Amino acid sequence: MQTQSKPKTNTPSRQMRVRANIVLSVLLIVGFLGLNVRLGYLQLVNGEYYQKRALSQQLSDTPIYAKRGSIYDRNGKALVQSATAYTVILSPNLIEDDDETQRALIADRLSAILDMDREEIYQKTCKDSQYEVIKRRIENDQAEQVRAFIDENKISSLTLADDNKRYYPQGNIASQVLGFTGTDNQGLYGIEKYYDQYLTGVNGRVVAARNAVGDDMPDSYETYIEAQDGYDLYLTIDYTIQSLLEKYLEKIYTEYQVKQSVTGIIMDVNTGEILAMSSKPDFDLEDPFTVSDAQALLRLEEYTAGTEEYSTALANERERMWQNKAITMTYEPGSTFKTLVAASALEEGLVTLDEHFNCSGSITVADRRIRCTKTHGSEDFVHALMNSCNPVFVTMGLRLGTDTFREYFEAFGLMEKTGIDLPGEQKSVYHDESAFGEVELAISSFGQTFKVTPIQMITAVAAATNGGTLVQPHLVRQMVDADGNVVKSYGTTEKRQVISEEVSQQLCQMMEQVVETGTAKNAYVAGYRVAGKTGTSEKTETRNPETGRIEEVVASMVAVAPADNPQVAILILADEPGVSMRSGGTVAGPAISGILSEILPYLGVEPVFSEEEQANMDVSVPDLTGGTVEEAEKRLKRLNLKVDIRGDGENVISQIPKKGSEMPKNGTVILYTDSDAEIKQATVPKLIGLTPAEATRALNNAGLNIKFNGISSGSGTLKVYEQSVQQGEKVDEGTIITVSVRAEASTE
Amino acid sequence: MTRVHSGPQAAGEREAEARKKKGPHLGFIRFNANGVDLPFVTLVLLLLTIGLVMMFSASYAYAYYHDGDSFYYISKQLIFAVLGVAAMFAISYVDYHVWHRLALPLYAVALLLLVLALFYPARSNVHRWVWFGPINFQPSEIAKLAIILAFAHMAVLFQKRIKTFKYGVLPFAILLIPVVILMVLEPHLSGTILIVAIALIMMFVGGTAFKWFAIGGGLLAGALTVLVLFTDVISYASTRLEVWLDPFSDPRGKGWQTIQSLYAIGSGGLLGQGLGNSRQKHLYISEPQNDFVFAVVCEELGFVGAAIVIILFALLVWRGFVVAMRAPDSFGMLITVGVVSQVGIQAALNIAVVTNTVPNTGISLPFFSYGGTALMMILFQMGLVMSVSRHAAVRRS
Repeated sequence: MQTQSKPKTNTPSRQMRVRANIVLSVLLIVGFLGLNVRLGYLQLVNGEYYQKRALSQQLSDTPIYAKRGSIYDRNGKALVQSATAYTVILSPNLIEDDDETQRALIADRLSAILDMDREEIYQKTCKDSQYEVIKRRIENDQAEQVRAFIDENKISSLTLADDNKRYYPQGNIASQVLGFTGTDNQGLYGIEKYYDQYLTGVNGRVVAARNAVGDDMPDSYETYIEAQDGYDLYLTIDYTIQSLLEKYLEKIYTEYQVKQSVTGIIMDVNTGEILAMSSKPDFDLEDPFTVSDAQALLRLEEYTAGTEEYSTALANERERMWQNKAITMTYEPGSTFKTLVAASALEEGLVTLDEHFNCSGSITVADRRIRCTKTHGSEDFVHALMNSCNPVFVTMGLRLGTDTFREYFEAFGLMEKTGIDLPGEQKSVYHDESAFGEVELAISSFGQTFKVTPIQMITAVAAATNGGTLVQPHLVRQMVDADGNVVKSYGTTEKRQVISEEVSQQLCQMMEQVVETGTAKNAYVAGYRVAGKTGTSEKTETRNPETGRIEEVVASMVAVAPADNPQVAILILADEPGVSMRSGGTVAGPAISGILSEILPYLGVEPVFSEEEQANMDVSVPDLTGGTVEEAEKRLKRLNLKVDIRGDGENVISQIPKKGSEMPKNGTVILYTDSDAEIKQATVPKLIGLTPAEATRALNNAGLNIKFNGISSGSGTLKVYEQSVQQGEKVDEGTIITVSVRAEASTE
Repeated sequence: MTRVHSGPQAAGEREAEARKKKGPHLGFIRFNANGVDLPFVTLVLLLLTIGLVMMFSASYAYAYYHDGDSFYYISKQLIFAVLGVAAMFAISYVDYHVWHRLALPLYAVALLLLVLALFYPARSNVHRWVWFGPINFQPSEIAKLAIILAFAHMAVLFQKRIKTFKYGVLPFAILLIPVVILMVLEPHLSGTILIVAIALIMMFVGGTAFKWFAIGGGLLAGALTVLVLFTDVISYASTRLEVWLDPFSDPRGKGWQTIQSLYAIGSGGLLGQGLGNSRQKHLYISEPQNDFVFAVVCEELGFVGAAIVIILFALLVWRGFVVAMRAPDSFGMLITVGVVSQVGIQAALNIAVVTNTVPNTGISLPFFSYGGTALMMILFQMGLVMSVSRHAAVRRS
């Protein structure tokens, strides 16, 4: 024991003490003081920075999706609504690897509840993944079953996430106007896109703490911010009018074998409210990605599925069906544009309605010979519009001169977008000021060489006929919040006065004559005064390089009614009709007549029948059964109907046509008086292609009655183009056969 | 505690008397029941208590997620703490001079265990552990104590000729170099640095001449230059340095631990999130009960709490040196300096790592980090200091 035997020598030396003090000082100063400073810097100076970053990894921020607003038509009929839906999500890696029972259970039960393939679900349970979507957007009743299944069996790997689903109570209507939403409920097209921010609402959030593997932390640390639901929209669209328009567009699309599209717009001329808007072919709201148009499918057949070319072609076809042609296509308006030239010339005092012109079949402007459809000879200005006479309108253009012509062109809104509340509106295509010479002016005067959109055209015509005011077309009337408060109302935006009220009235009168006896007589509606103008414009881009002929046309017609106090304007245009009879009047006229005859009474416009119209009006067949033959004869005579009595009885046992049937005057009612009398059959003759008189004769000869759909009289060549019963079929004698008649022309 | 109020003469008589009596003993082990340094014991127990509470809080979530039992770590650690405190008091009654005899044998055992460790299967790719049945420990913990005791023993033995190379440097180097080589082989860089630092402090306080430190420093610098110039050590170290300077350069990989630690420290702010409220311990900080327990201290107790912990460590070191200064002989002083320096350096290094002040290297925080043998060793060493303080109390009175 050294220490104890030599204590003196082992006492710590002075040097040892000094050195120990040095070590202590260094440790305290460098180590602990330094570390405290460092810690202060990290916690007090930089603390906020680190805390922010820490929070962003610790907090899970789950959105609570706001309910997307509904879309209603102008009368409050729901077109688009949102419903809560659920998405079933599986986290396969939460299932133990060897838990085959669990996998089978999930696959069995879910396939039964969700009506899915069991194998498909089973495959997903075997994946090594955190997140597998089993099914998106399931309805509440299915969700309830899934929830019960989860609770019953304590299946932690399954979750139900809140989702939102768009559905369409009225089915597929106005698809291009409404547009659709994407997987995140964002608006992709149409109203859904344009008003996306209002429809979407403001999502709420749940902020919760989570650990590094994503589970919630045991300590509750949660903030809940409520979602604010999106606004509802009330459109200017009227469901009834929209369905009617779509029905007719569909009909034109197939009947006239239209190669591109058929577009229609119906607009309130005074407020700019769009009552209906559509183009065909379009897409299915419920299934916006599936191309179903036959022509499109045919085009797609040229590609091999799976190739890049196919994907591109498919994308193009989808784009085609999604596009709302009423605002995205540009076309040469052709003769419909003459209405605006007439209005401009009248406003400038360069012409009067009774000024006389002489059409020699062509006009020469700066060595360029411009031809008319035929030689009209002597005609006044009104007839020039009725005849759609090119030389007269070229003259009008020249009288206006390039500058004034452009001024009016601009004033009618044809150089600017209309500003309609839809995404993707296109601009018009027109001449540069420097390139706008006499020849261009002359050709522009009958609506060729420049291009406008359908919405621009109908808006301009509305301005020309509503008393001269250019209004902005729009689709939304009101925005309403979730509690029913009106957030915003959209009224009429008047842009400018383009022409005087007087000139506007004059134009309406002229256009009325066009329908009465001119190229637009197919648009005639008995009891209503309809003003209109047709157009068949050549698509110069379809000029065949070999023959030099322009192969395709845009057939269109614009109409305004009633002519004495315009309420609605309607524009229908067919891009590349595939039949020979493809003039605007032929293609669009009957549809406009059909639509107006239904919507004018619907809009509360009272019909006023002229004497001639009253004379031609159909009568309703009374109930004659049970009465005496004598009495029946008297009643029919009063109605200007003929009678054909079969049998020898005194009382009428049965009658053809039945009571309540509508038929023209001079028709024949067959009365049977014997109970055992044989009811004779007649064979329906061929009527298509006949004139109204010929058709009447043919049917009468066969012992049948005729009834006309649309016009049945008027100048020019009227021909039957449709019959309600096909030729060769057998029907009872006396049956009413309905025929559709139209004036046919290949051009104007 | 026996207090005798008397003058210097009386003290001298009493010492002589004590020597004559030789007190209670068991073979060569003597016992001393004089007063212990109370401030030192108080600081040890305070740090241990805070350390246990914080380790429990830090390990709570981790233990729950990994072992399904939030008490998994604390229940084990508590057992070792109780055993350790018992051992600490027991050892404090043992006259520390007994370690003169045991120092070199202990060194031999430590060396043997270090060799043994290399033949044990690697854990996390390093050979740092040996285990016998349920007991497993790091031989380097024992090596630290062995170096302290052996160096103190030799410094006292060679005190007269300590300025020479032959006595002041060579014997120490002979003992240290095998330990360093074995630890580098494990590999255990932070442990090696710690043990070298302690060794140097022991030699420095023991009296080795300044010039040898200067020459050693020069040689070290030369060796480093050679390493940098002729080996690949830079590219090996550079990723480590890069991650140190900018942990966000590899946020999901090598920078993860550091970033999560900084997030925790920063989130603490001035007053902290409150005890138990750390969010970073929820699996963000990897093994928060081990090396990064101090980050949780910072997050939960804030700058104020963390600073108090640092100050407690500083006070412990200071009080340890007070004990050293009052030691009746060089051996007691050197043991105390070594042990207290070890605790101080280890704590400072750990906090420096946690705060990204130095590059990340695995080093635990005494009294706080989970680890039974390490805690027992620390408490055992505290017992040594207490033993020295019992002799100091005799001198003081």
